[in-house]
Amino acid sequence: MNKYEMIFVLQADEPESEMETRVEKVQKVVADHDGQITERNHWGVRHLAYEIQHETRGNYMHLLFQSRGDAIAILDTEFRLDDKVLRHLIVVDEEWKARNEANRARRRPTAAIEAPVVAAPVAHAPEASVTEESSAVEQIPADPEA
Amino acid sequence: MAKTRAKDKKKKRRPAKKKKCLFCSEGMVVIDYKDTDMMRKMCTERGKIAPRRNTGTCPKHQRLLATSIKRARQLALVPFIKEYFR
Repeated sequence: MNKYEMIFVLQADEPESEMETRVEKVQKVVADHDGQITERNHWGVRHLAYEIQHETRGNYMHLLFQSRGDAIAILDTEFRLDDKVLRHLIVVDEEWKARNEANRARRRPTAAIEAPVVAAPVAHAPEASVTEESSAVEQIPADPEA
Repeated sequence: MAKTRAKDKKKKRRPAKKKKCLFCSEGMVVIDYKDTDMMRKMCTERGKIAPRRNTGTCPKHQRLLATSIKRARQLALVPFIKEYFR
């Protein structure tokens, strides 16, 4: 199970129902691949930094989800073929990725990789075995055994 | 820390950027492409990615920053280039 982050931009003039349809599309694909959407941030209509298809505004939606890897190609095709979606970007959740790498580096080689995540700035429970962990996820703490 | 190159001797101004890397001082591991304020800060007036010389960013973070800016550009959160009027 991997964690991904996705942003897509819908044409600003489209009704909100269209946005919902897109989110449902993601939901369906993700669910079909043993996943779920974990976070949903609707940024709403914003000005674009440059014109896209002669539009100056776009309706932004940001999603965090987890899923099996093979979902990504499908999601990408879906959004690429959608005419009303001006832009989309699917990316591995960098914070999750950084946390995994930090954990992996800190653990002994025989331990499992899938471990409870270390403390994040957004109020997650700190990992029990690492009590000296600082609260910001953006820091890679020093290895106490090093 | 700046190497003296032949062409630098011709330049009159030599900004001695002893600045610390913004990201290192915060201990940031992840550079967020969604942080438009940060992205814009790291670009020039024209919209280009600002060189390390100017921003004081360390090499590692500069690489991460570059990919972040490029992602932000793709999502039209930040321009590829800005026209300015003379």
